[in-house]
Amino acid sequence: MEFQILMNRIQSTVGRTILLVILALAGISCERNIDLNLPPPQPHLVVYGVVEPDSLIKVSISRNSAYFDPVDLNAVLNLLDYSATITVQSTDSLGQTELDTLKPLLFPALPILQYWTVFNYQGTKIRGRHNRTYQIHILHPDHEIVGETKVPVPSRIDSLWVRSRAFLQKQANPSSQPTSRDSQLVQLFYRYRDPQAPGDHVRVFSRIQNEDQWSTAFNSVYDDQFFNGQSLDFVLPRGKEAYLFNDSTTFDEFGLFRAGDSIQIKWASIDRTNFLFWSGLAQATGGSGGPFGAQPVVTTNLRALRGRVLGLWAGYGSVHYSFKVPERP
Amino acid sequence: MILGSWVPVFGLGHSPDITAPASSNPEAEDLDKDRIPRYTLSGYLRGQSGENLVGATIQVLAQGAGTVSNAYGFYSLMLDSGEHTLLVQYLGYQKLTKTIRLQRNTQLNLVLEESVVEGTEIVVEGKRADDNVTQGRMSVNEVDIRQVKSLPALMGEADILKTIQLLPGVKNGGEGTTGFYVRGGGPDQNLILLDEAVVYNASHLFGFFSVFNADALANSQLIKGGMPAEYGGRISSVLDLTMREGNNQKHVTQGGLGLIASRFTTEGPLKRGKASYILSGRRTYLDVLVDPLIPKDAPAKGSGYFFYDLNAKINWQPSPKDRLYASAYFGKDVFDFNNRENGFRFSIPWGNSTATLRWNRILSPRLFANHSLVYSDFEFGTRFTQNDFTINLNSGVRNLTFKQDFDYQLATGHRLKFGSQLIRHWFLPSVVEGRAGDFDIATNNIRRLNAVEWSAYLRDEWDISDRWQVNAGLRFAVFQQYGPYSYERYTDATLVTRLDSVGFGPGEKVVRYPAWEPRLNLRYLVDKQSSIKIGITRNLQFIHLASSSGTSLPADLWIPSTLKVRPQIGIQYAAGYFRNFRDNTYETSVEVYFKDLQNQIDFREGAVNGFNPLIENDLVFGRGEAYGMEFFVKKNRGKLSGWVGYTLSWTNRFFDDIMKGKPYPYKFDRRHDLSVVGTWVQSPRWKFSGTFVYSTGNAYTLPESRYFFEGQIIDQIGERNSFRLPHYHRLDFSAVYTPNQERASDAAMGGGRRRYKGEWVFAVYNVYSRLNPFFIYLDNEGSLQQGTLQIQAKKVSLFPIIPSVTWNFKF
Repeated sequence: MEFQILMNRIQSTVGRTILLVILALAGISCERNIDLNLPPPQPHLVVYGVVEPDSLIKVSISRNSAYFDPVDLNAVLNLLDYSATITVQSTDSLGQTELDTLKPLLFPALPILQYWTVFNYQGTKIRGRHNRTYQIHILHPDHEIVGETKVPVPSRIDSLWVRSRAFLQKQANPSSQPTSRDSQLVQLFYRYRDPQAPGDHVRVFSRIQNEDQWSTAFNSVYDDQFFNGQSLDFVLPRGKEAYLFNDSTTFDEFGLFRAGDSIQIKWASIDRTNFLFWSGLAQATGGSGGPFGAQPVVTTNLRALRGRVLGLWAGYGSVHYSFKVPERP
Repeated sequence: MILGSWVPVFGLGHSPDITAPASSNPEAEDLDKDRIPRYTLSGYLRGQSGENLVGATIQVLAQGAGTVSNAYGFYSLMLDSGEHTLLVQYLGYQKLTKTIRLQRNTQLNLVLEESVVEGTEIVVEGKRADDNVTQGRMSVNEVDIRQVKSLPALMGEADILKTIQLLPGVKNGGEGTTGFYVRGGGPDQNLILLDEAVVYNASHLFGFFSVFNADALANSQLIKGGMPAEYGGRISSVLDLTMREGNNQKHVTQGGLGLIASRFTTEGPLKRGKASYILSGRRTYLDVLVDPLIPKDAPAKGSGYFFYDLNAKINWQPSPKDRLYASAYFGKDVFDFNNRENGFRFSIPWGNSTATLRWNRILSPRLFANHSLVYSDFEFGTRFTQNDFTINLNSGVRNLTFKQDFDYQLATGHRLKFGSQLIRHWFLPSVVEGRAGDFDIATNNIRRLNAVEWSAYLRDEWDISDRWQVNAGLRFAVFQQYGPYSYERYTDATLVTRLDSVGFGPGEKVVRYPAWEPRLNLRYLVDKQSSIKIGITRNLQFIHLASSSGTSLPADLWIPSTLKVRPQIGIQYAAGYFRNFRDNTYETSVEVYFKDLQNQIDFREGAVNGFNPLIENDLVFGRGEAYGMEFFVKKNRGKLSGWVGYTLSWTNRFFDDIMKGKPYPYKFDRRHDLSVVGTWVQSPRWKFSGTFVYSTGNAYTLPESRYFFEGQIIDQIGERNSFRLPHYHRLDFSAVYTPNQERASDAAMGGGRRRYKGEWVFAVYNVYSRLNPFFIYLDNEGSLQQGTLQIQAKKVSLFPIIPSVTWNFKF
C-alpha cells in the first residue's frame, strides 16, 4: 500500500496543516517582500562521495556560496573545486589495507547538471564491496576533512507489480470515470520483507530505458521504525528528476510510470548517518520551518580537522532490479 | 444573610458588630494571668453568591497584623481578647470593615460584596491596599477576571492567558498566541492548574485561544518566582486558576455571542446556602456556518474545524466544618479534512480533561485540612485513511494525584502549611497503529511510560518583627520511573552503531530521582509605604515537553524523566524594591532576577521530525540562564486605572551538541518588553480600555549560505537564533457599553419577572494595523535551468486591524 506516501504526508502534514488552518481561518494574513542583510558566509567545502559495490569511488568537491549570489548553471560550475587531494582507505578483516588516491576529472561528465551531481574526482583502484568500511581523507588549502562510511549488506525486495491510475481511481471512488490516459499511467508497487533486527535504512532510486542517471523521490530514504521485521507493500514513485527533466511529463503524472516502460530500480541499504543526511535534506527542501517547525539542519557524517565541511560520504549497499510495465497494464 | 447556623456572618457593610460571649476560658490560648488571653478567630471569606474568596486579606487595623485566606477561602487569626477592627479586602470586591469583641475562640464567616462602578470612578480593590509592599512573597501577580473580560481581545474572545502576557516578566509566544514564557523559561516550565488539576496544553486552535472560558473562572494567580513549597513539578512559574463555584443563593444564567464562539453558563443553588452548581460551555461555530455553503458534491465536503469547552462544578457543605467539591473540565479541538477525489481523509482531534474531588475540613479553629483527588489528561491524535490503508498516531499524558494540605495558624503572624502529594503518571509519547489491507502495522512499538512521584512539603510564613518577614519552605520529592521500559544503547553519540537493548519488566524500577527543593523569601519593611524583598528558590521538573517548534503545539510530546532524560533544575535568585504612593493609589516595583536552568532538553540538530517512539535518542541536553529587570507601575483608583510593565532581559542556552556548546539566545529572548494597560470609566454606561505592547523581535534562525547537492539548492543554516525579527508593537482598544443595568423581561423563559443585564463589548485588535512579522521565509522563484531563479525574503503577517463585537447577557 501507499505506506511511504502516507508516512511522508503524516510527517509533514501536521505542521503545515496547522499553518494552513490558521491562515485560512484568519483569512487576512499578509505577505510582503523584505530585504535581509545576512552576514557574509563562512567558507565550507561541500563533499559528496559515493562508494558502491563493484564501482570506482566518485567524489564531488565544491564550495558554498553567499545566499543571495546569482544562481545559474555557470554558478554551479564555478563552485566546483579542484584544489583537493583525496585519498580513500579500507582495511579488511585480515588486516589487508587498500589505498586509493582519487584523480580530478577536469572534464567531468555533465549530464543535466542542474539535477544531478557533477563528480569531479574519481578513484582508480578501489571498487566497493559489501560489508566493508571506507575512510576518506580530503586535504585542501583551506580545509582538511575526514570521514568514514560503510557499504552495508543489502536487504531485498520480494516482488514488484503495477496498478493503473484508472484502477486506483475506481478503487478510491467507484463512481469515478477514468480516461484512457489514466489506463496508460501506472503506480509501481513493491513488497518488502524487513529483516528482524531493527535499524535497517534504505535509499531507493529508479530510472527508465533511455535515462543514464538515477532519480529519486523527494524523500528517498526509509527506515524500519514503524514496521521492523514485517512484510509490507509500498509505492515506489517515479523520481522527481525524471519529471523535471522530461518536458513531455506533465504534473498530473508525477510519481507515475507509463505503460511499456522498462524500469530499473537501485535498492541501496545505507547506514544511519547516510539516512539522517537524506532525511534532513528532504525536510530542508520540503519547506519545513516557519513559525511551527525548527529550521531543519542537514547534518554531515564528515568531520573538519581544519575549516568547515558540508555534505556526505555515502556507502550504498546496492542491488538492482528490473521491471517491464505491460503495454496494457 | 445566614450561611450557617453555627456562626454569625458579617458582610455587605451593614451587619452589626459582634460580641463573642464571655465564658469560662477553657479555650484561652494563654493562661498566664499577667497576660491578656488570646483566642482564635477563623472562618471562611465568601462572596455574596457563596464563592470562596482565595487570597483575600484580613487586617487587624490597630495591630497591623493580619493574614490571607487560603486556597479554599479559609482564614485563621490569633488575637488578644477584646475589641478589634478588621479590614477585609479582596480583588474585585468592596472593602469590609468590621469591629468585633473577641472573648472566646470564634468562627466567623464574612461575606464581601462585589465592586460596582459608581459614578465615573473605579476602585480596583485589589487586596489589602499595601499588599504588594507588606506581603513577604514576591514575583506574584493576581489578575481580576472581570478586568480580563473588559480588555480588548482578539476576535472578542476574552482570554486570561493573553492578559497575563501583559505582565512584566511574561512574554507571549507570537502574534495572537496564548503561549507564555516566564523569565526566560520554556513553555513546559509553567505549572498551569485548574482547580488543582494540571492542564498540559492550555490552548485551542493551535495556540490562538486558551482553554479557559472566562465565564467559568473565579481567581487567577501567576507566580513568577519564589514558588511556595506547596507547588512543585515546574521550574519557571505557576498559574493557579480556580473555577467558580456557582451561586448558592439564586439561579443565574449568563452567556455571550461572539465573532467566532458563543458561551453559556448556568449556576444556582442545589440547596440554598448549602450546595450549588455551575455549568459553563463554549463552542466555536465556524464549521456550522461554513458547512451549508459547501456544495454536497465538493471534494472537501465534511472538512471543518471546531473547539469546545465544558466546565462543571458542584459544592456541598454537609456540616459547618466540612465542604465537598467536585469539578471537571472537558475541552476538545477537532480538525477534519476530506478529499473525496483520492479517498484521502484525516482527522486531528486533541484535548484536555480534568476532574477534581476535594474535601475541606476545619479540624480546629487553627488547623484546616484539604484532601484532593485529581485527574488530568491530554490526548492528541491523528487519523489518516486512504482506500484500505488506515493509520492512527496518538500521543498523550495523564496523571492521577492524591494530595493533602494542612494550614496551621501557629500564632498571629506565624503560619505553617504542610502536606504531601502522590502522583501516578502515564505517558504515551508516540504510538503508531495501522492497517494496510491484511497487514497490521507496527503494533509492537507502543511505548507507554510509567512513573510515580511523591512529595512532601513544609512552609513557614513568619513575621519575625514589625519589619522582617520570612517565608521559608522545603519540599522533598521523589520521582521514579518503572517498567515496562527499554532503550537502545549505541557505541557512539550519533547513534550509528547500535550496541544492545536494555529492558525492564512491568513494575520494575528503572530510575529514581530524589530531590530537595528549598526556598526562602525575606521581606524588610523600610516604612509603611516601601519594602525590600529577596528570594531564592530551587525547583525540579520531572516531566518535559519535547517540542521541535520552540512554541507549544498540541503535537508536542510530554515525556518523563528517564535513565537518559534527567530532571530539569531551576534555581532562581530575585530581589525587589516595592513602594506605593498617594495612599496606595500607585503601586510600583522594581525586581531583578537571575535564573539558572539545568538539564534543559532540545532536539538534536538534524533530528528527523515526526513520530518517533524512541524520542529520547533525538534529544540533547544542556543548560540555560536568564536574567533581567522588571519595572511595574500600577494605578488602582480613579477614572483611569491600569498598569505599565517593562522588562529588560536576557536568556541564553548552552548545549554541547548544538553549535558545539557556543551560547545562543533562546527563541523568546527579547531585550525589551513593554506593556501599557489602561481602563477609563466614562460613565456607568461606557467603559473604555486599551492596551499597547512593544517588544524586541524574536530571535530567529536563518540560512547563512547555500550549496548545491544532487541538483538541489540546500540552505546552510546559520547560528541558531542569531537573527532578529523586526520589533513588535500593537495597540488594541475596546469599549464596553451597558445599555440598561436591568430591566424586566416577561415570563417567557420560565415564568415570573427576572432581572436582565446585557452589555456590548466593541473591540479593535491592532488599531493601526501594524503588520508585525509572524515569520520570515526565503522563497525561490523561477527556474535554475532557464537562469531565472530569484531568491526573495518574505515576511508573513497574520492579523491586521480586526474589529469585533460581543454581546454578553446575564439574568
